Amino acid sequence: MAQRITIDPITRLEGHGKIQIFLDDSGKVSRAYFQVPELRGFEQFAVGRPAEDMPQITSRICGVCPTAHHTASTKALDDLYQVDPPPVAKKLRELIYSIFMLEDHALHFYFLGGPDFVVGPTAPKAERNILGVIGKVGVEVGKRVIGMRKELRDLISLLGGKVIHPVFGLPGGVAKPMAPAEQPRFVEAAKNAVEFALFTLSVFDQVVLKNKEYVDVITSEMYTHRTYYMGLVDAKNRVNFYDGRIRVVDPQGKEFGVFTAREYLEAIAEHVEPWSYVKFPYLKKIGWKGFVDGPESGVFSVAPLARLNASEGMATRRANEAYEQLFATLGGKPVHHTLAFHWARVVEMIYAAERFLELASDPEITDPNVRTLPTAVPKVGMGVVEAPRGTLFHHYETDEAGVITRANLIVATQNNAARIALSVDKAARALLDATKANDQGLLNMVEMAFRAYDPCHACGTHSIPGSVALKIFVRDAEGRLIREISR
Amino acid sequence: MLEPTPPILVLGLGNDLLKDDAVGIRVAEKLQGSFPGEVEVRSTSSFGLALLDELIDREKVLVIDSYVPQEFVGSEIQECNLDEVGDSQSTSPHFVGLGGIREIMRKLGLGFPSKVHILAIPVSDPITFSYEMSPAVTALVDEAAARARCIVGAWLPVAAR
Repeated sequence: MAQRITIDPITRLEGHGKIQIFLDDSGKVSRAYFQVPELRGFEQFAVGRPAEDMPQITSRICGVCPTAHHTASTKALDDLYQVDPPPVAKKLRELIYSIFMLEDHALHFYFLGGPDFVVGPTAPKAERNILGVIGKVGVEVGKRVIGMRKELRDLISLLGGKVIHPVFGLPGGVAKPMAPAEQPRFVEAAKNAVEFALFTLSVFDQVVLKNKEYVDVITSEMYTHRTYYMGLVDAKNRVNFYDGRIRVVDPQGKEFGVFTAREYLEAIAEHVEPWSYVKFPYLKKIGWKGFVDGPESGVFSVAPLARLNASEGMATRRANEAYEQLFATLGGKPVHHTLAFHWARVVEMIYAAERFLELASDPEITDPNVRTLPTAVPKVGMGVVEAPRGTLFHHYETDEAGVITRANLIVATQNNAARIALSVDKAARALLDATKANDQGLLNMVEMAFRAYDPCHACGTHSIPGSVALKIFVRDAEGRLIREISR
Repeated sequence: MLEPTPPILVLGLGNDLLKDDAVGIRVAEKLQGSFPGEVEVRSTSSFGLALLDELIDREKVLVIDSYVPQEFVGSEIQECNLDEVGDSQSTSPHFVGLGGIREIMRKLGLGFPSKVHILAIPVSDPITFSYEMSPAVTALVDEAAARARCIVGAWLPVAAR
């Protein structure tokens, strides 16, 4: 009889997400899964509501990436009403979006990925946290991260309303233009942002790349999966967060396909497992072959490294230099090492900052013509953006009055769910092979496997006690609890 | 000219799209207009490190949030000071708690409120999309608001209560 180990965060106050590890009769791992709780009833909740409410509703789904949902939803409304926003409206949306990506990535690099690399994968548990990162990079850098983040969020609020409840995007444009008097503040912040992003790359270079032990961890087979990769690209196949076509490359890096938001249902299907509420997206043309990698498996990956793999470069100079350095260092495209997501995130920080500066400095950015009024009868709308954690699809269908009759979202973490399961599985196999390792080391090994993806399962979790408590329950062949490991 | 930040903050946490998760926000709504000018009542769907912004320049903070008990039936509204919670450092900024934020703010020299009190309301379903809370949770809003008034009242000078 198979055994099961559960790593369970238990309650809302302690965070969400669960890891299930199934053992065979001999005590070896037969399979491990990362379970992300799915919020219940979104489709039913959306049905019957005016489509124009969706950018506000969906941005409140979670407090981590409201701007991504708001923007994907707004683009779906453009499509729904068949309206093309004025050029400045697109620029303003992309400007806000670039700020958001930069802020989110910076937070991840310093405070989420930081414990793994800035502090170090083998550092004592007591140091492997945000305070440990501050201790390593220094208080002044810590203050700079917090200050930069606050300034960026203030700028989003200045133009788009509350960060958590943005009221910026409208079908056909945006709610308000940038006042000429506001432009210098955006430009100044963008210059600081570029400098900060480049500084972050230098931190990564000094702390990580100059440390052979860290590089060995990044390139280790335990954290490697040869999957397909997906990301939004512009007309020159360069990474774009806001607009473009979705490009997919195979595990050898060859273009597998390109599709638009409208074509996502032809490209992606969803697999259902009995042990999870999450539907696992896979490439329809390849098919679902289980939780395996390789060219015969439809499992694909999204988010920073996937975006870089799926592209042919970055659209800004410094970011493209960093992009070239990454692939040159790690042996060319595509890079399959999960822990390289952290590095790819820094490359994208530079791109976001440079793009922010380009847009803030654009002489047309204060053009007051920010909206084209929609006149078409609505029917179907689909929108896509690159959220920090990967490709995000919004799909609405309405009646002629614009009232939602069907809604579907495929969120970024969901797109990565199958590959995250692969990563957890590999870590778990190592975990149980290493039965003499200490408990916290085992937990950390598993955590590192999924932390690189920055999975967002932040469905209303405020976490007053503070820790994403992980618990591992080890059960014998009869299902009896024989060991419990907790953080 | 910018208004000075009121020294006392009553902060309702939650997501009003997610059924019972709205309870912190609903209690905060109930408390609007209950206090003198030195008390600000706010609500937010933010969490993790994002709460740091709310705490800057505050002296005393009452956080109103929900918790999921093992068994909802028989569970009661809980009160505690931050010191009693026993925070550990999270590796994730999305989920860092108030104790972790306190350590970060102190480490960075940003100060931290001298008192943080927590009012935690039991809920049964914080994950279903709905604007309507469970009746049993709705019934706790008045009690939670009354306890919040009592807690904050004790922080005010006698003349301002």
